[in-house]
Amino acid sequence: MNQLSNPVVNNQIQVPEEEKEYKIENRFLVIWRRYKKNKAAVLGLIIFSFFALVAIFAPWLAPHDPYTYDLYDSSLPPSWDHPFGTDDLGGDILSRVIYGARVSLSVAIVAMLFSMVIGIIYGSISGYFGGWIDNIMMRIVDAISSIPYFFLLLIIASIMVPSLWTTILVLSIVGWTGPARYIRGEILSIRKRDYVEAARATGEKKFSVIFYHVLPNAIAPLTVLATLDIAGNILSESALSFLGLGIQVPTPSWGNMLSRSQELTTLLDYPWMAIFPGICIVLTALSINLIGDGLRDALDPRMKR
Amino acid sequence: MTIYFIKRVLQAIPLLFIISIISFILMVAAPGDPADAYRNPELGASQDLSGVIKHLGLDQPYHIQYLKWLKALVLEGNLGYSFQDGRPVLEKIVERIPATLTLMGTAILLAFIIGIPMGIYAAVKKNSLFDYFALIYSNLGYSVPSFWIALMALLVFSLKLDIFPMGGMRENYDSFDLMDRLHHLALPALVYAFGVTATKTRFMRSSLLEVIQQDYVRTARAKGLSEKKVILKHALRNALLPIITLLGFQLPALFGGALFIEQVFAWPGMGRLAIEAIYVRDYQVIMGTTMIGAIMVVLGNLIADILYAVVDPRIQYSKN
Amino acid sequence: MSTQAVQQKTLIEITDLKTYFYTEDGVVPAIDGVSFKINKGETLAIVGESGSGKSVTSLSIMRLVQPPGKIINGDIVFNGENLLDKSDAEMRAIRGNKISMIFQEPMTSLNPVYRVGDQISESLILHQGMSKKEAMEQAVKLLKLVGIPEAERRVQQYPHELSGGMRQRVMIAMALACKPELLIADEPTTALDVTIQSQILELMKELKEKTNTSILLITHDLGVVAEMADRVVVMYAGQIVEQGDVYTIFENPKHPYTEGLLRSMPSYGKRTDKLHVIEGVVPNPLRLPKGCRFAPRCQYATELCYAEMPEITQVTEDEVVRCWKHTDRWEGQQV
Repeated sequence: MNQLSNPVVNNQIQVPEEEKEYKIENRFLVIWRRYKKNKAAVLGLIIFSFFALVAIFAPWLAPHDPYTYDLYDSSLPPSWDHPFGTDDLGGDILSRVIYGARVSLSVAIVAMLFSMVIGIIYGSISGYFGGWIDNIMMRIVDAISSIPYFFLLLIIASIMVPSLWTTILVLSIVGWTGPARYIRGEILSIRKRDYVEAARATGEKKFSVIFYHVLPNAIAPLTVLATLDIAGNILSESALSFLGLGIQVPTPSWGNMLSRSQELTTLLDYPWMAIFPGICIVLTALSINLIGDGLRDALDPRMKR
Repeated sequence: MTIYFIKRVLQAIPLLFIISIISFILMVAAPGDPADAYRNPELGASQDLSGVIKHLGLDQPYHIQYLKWLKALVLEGNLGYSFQDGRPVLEKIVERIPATLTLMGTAILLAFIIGIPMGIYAAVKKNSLFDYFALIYSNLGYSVPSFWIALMALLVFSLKLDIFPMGGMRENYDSFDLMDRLHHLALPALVYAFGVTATKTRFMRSSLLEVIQQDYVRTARAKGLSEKKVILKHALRNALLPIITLLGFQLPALFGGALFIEQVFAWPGMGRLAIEAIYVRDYQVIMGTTMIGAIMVVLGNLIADILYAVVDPRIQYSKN
Repeated sequence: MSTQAVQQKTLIEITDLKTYFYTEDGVVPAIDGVSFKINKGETLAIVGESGSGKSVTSLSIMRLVQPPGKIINGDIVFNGENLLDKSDAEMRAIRGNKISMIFQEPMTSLNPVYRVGDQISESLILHQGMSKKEAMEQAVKLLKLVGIPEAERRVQQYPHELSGGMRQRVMIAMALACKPELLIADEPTTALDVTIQSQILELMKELKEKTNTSILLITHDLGVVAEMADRVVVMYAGQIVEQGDVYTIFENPKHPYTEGLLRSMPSYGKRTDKLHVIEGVVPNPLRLPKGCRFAPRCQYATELCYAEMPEITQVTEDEVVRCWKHTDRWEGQQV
């Protein structure tokens, strides 16, 4: 021990130097440290980064132009020239998969952003006003949640003429209930707390008090929600495109690359057409889910174990 | 207890109400209308359909149309008529429900039988190799698109290895052949169960882990009970409770998942019906399936809630 | 103080017990060389702040320490046998049977999905081989014993239908069901209202008289100690700092920490402006000082105290203290 001061006489508590360092550590670093410990989460991050990079550098990575087709070379098995084979129109599957990464990932992310915005606004309004407004708004959320997810997707998709943007729209419409519920819950629980009343008594606007307290704490769980939402969107988009209601050919999407394989003869004779895009979907969704889980564990202080 | 039951039922009604409104809005938003059945494309705009429109009530303001539709729905069970073959939508749906329920039911059952023990074991042997694999499995389970795993399973087990049939519910149309049915049910149910088991395992594991931390588990150990008894008797009962509500939550997703499995395996269920309808833009059928699907979900949740109340004494014997 | 003419026969003797927790952040020596004994029919109280290791001590005796904790050293000799040598099955036969335990939180210590009667019966069926019917009847008798009115009705109820005080009585009934020789009570009244507290303590005293069970009472409340204990062990940062009979501890405490604790108690009749506090905080278990662990907060501390860990000194036959002041190497203020 360095300082031999007498606590009673000095009336001061000496904190040893080493202990002071603890408090200064950056919050993000702490989270990153905890995240790192989770090997699966790190793996997820690596895999996802791989796909993200592929998506970003698509034009430089793809060996062929994904939009050209050559009927003479159609339905070829994997070879040096076409590592993933070709599809029924002669398009190089590898190139289409690479560009598909772009499409699928960007659609998933953009749709998530829309869902988040809509959801947060909706939930905020509901939670802020409370009472019967909240009641009705939440009932609507319940009702929408009760409708089987894919049914809703399909219906809305069928109402519109499918395209890239309608796909994004459809995915956003279905995904906003999660964040809405969450934000509303947080706001409601904050409202009940005493310091809100206290703040109002001192004249602070209820609005700013609530949001000042809700937002910082909400960012972390919302990030987790957002991450998992992206994963869900990737799966949903591929499902929609698979059925022809999402991203339309010739734009490559992992989902629509699989739709041909619905015909069992195609599946049997040319399995590579189904295998590769599918694996990409699985790996991407898996990696994002792992990231989401890793984030959730790293951000939750209770889990320190 | 009965009060709780009644309360829950009453709560469900406004929900159904809102669902019906949403369905109606979607229906109206859809291009085309019931009058299309009478529209002869060759005659074009000159066709005078005012009589038809009046007859079908399409000239009325929307809220009147809604009320009429609702009345027809609730009092007569009339969901409209299919665009494709003119048959009542309800009939078409109802005849498909058993198939879907068989598929879903079997998958859920499998998921429970496999998933729960897996989750328990993973929780008890936390951080072991088994736990690690269980987590990987459960993560895979909800990262894999159901239609793709269905295709792969079909490819391997049916087309290449010829263990299972390629699709459909049965080959024997003359009589009820159980083996035949099971043979056809196996692959789709297993594929479907793959995804559902994932969530069950995951949830069971975390639920049990949470329960194990509880004080009463410590008390049980302090009484000298064997670890097995502590987990299986004291912890498990509590850990299973939330699973029931989980099932309720999952119902919408489960129905959706059935869609794709049915599509790939040509399983004649509600999902397949919906997809077929979507391809031809048969909106009456689409709306009908959605509505019925949602109703089934609400009912399912209701049953789950009541089941939960039965099983958790804290709700039953509450003083309020 | 118990006036029964007990042969001072040792029921349980703990020697140099060490239980360490191997956490991600480092090794926490929750109990670092603890020795004491409990005689038959005696009530021994372990006093200390949170984190002093008192609860871990009781869990260690029952061998209920969960990973990452591990008992790495010591002997726990109960009725002539070392508990640390026993197999799991043998330990289980002792838990709830020869040694039983009640916990701090009656609200959560009972399983919410099973009836109270079933939970009591469980130990009886397990350890005494009773049939379900016999066990239930015994459970009713036990509920009466612990002072629960309408025992026949209560025995069929679920925990949430009972108040906190009643649940704690149920816990006591459960613990006493198989007539244990040692009852470990870990802060049994901390979570209860003051009025209920005194009821429970009265009950425990009554039962002790009737059954001559030894009690190991864990608490941070000196008032409870004064009421219940025959002898006291004071723990700080995983070690015993003082041990003796209850009168000596209260009237003539040897260790500065004990002094501090006693001074911090508000007392009747005396008015003060400020309550006495012991300055400072408990040391971080991951970075324990190499000298006396209480030194940074001790008003008598000298260089010796910071430099070296004091050994246990036998002050009288019954009393020990871990403090340099009571050794011949002491050069600081005279006591």
